[in-house]
Amino acid sequence: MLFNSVSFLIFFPIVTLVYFLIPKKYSYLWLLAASYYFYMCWNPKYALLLLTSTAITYGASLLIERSAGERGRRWCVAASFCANLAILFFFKYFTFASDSLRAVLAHLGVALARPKFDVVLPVGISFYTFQALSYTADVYRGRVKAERNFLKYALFVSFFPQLVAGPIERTENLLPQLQNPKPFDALRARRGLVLMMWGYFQKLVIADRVSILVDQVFSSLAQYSGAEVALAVVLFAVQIYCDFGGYSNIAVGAAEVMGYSLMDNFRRPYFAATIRDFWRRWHISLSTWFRDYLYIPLGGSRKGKLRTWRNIMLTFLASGLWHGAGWHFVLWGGLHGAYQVIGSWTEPARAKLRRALRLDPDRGLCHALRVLVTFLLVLFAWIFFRASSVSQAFLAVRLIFSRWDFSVFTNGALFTLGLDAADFWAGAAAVAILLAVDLLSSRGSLRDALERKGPLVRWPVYLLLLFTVLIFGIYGPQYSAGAFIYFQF
Amino acid sequence: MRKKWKGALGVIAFALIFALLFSGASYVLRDKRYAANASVVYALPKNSADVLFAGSSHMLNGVYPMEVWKQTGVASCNIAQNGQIIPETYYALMEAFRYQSPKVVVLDVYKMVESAKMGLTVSFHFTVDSMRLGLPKLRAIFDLVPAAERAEYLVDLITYHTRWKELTASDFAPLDTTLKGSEMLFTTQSNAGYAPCPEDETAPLNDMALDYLQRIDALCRKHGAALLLVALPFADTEQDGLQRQQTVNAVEAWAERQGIPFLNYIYRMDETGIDLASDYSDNYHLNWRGAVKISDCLAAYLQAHYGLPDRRGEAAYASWRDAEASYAERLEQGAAQ
Repeated sequence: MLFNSVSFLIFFPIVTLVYFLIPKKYSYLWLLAASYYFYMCWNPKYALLLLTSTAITYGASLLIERSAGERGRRWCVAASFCANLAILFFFKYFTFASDSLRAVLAHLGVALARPKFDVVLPVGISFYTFQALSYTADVYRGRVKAERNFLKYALFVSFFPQLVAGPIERTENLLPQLQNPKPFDALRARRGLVLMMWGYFQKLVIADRVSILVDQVFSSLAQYSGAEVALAVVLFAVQIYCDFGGYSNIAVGAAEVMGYSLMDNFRRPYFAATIRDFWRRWHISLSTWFRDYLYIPLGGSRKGKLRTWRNIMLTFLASGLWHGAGWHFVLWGGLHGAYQVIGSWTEPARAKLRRALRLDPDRGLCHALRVLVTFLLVLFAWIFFRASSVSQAFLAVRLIFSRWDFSVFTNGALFTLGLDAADFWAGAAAVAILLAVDLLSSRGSLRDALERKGPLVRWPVYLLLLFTVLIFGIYGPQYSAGAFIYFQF
Repeated sequence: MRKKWKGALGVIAFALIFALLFSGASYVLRDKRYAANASVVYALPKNSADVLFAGSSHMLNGVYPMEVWKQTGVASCNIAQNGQIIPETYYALMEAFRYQSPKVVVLDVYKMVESAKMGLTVSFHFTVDSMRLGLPKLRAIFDLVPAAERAEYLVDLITYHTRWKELTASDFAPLDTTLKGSEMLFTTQSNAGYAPCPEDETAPLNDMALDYLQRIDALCRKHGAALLLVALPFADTEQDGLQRQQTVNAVEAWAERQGIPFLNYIYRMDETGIDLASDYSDNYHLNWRGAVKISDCLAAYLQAHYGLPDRRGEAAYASWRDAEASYAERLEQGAAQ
């Protein structure tokens, strides 16, 4: 069940209403049932995997607490990580790994038959596996106590707003909230609904609209000049931000309506002045997960520059692999790692230059330039993320750095890339709104500012947002008068 | 407590404003090409139509209530719809009976050949989009549409919201119901030389269409309306056209057994005066000339067999009188082409 489906628009109000009507003592059972139903709407069999992952991490955490010695505790946490990562590997990476191995062996003249597995990737497996693993690690580190109630813990892993696309919640934030549900609060519910609406705006009005152009260009790259490919890459940057950020906002908003506070997942990422800064703003729940459970255990920045750079590279290569089973994702992660290593390496020289020129890196033109360069670096890396293969990514790069046919921007060809003029400009207007909101929210929460206003200001804003999504959103059976022309009476 | 009440009132007020705007946006964005005939039962004064013409595009294009009015003073309206199949007509009639109490329902049986519950997406949209929210609309959607597709009919904005870039002034104007639901076709196609199959040649009737035809019969009886079945002339030379004729003939035989009157105009060319060379718009539909001839025949039949009142002098029927000039103008427009 996707957030942007009619089913969810029926499911969510019913679940919320019943949740607040039943006694608080039992409300977690209702949420657990609702979460499993939500997940099983994709495929009922997937629920078994979710349950398996839950059972393993639940049992491992209890054993960790009961183990007297450090060795036993380590065994438990290792077993939990191995079992969960093995499941993740099998469902997400097995085909990729076996194909890669076959390709390597083929170069050595060894032919290997392709294993016959027709495995469909269970939705959200990367998200809930990481959340469950962080729980085991937190219990091991003594940051949280193991949850005794299996059903409450099962809800922590399966909590439907963030089950399939995050944010990947931390135990100390979500589990205590699930143990102490809050009563209905109209103000909080209103704030949550506004955030959900903003998420729907990002997802349906922007992401799904620009994706039409991006998909068309990337589906037949060779047909286009550098200008169209570059435009598609810029729009992909918008698409992925609004798609992922929008989905996160719907998740955070939905949880807020029910009284739960989830972590912010995106904080104006394209206003970052460095790649490091970008990762403090982009998919925050995942980047902090990698920081806490991979980068720091690897040694973080504690053991000299070379070890730090190695740790950064490993963390970002793993992050790339987490995003998808493909070498282009690994390259994407590698690029972000390399950006940071190079940034760290050149920082003393750049700082010296700035001092010599008396430039303040956090103000004025210098800051704007840094934001622009960071955005361009991120854009370049997005090519590898969006492409369907490494070779397609290099083709896109080659096209961008070859001849540009600027006439596409003036001769109407722009409007033959899947979006007609009206839809293109509607998308441009929506992106301008997004930019304005991101800029304004750097000075403080716009939702807080809105809530301080009376209904005469708030209601028109709510209605405007609602109807913008309803009318300009990309959803439903795409109507065209042509398709509605009646031929066969 | 007072704060809670204030909050609840606020939610209700907001919901009402939203509903109002939503309904307005849905109306403006809707494809209204066939909305006028789909909503004619609401546009007419309540219980003012003595005859309802129902069925597919054959009826929509083939019978003009204004011609019936002109000839006899009988007040009627045409609720037929393009591509509408018999199960859909059943619910369209159910809705019409909420607003009109006709003495006669004239049903075109051309679509008896269809064995599906729901016809084309576009036809069903035209049938239900303009229906007011009520039991007939909900029953039509839940009975005829597969579960996964119901949302777009329950909330038609899901289908039409992308029309924001195609809106014209006509989308904001009131619907023109001058023709009382019918649509006039002004193009001409000659079907000279066409000959239908013998009237006693029949094809088996499908259970689905027959079931809903029986439901229509029961619905009419329940509301005290007489059911008159008709087949309007068509000249479909293709293989499935033959099956349609044979099905129509089978319905005729069935109707005879049930004691339901049936007018098979396919075989009454002399009586109607239909000219194969000039009275068709295409293979399937009568143009304005053919429709006027059929309307005149039907008007005479209705007056002769059902004792329907001449409403021309009655104050409540001003909208029919007001539409006379406009109808005459359109006939002139047809004659000039």
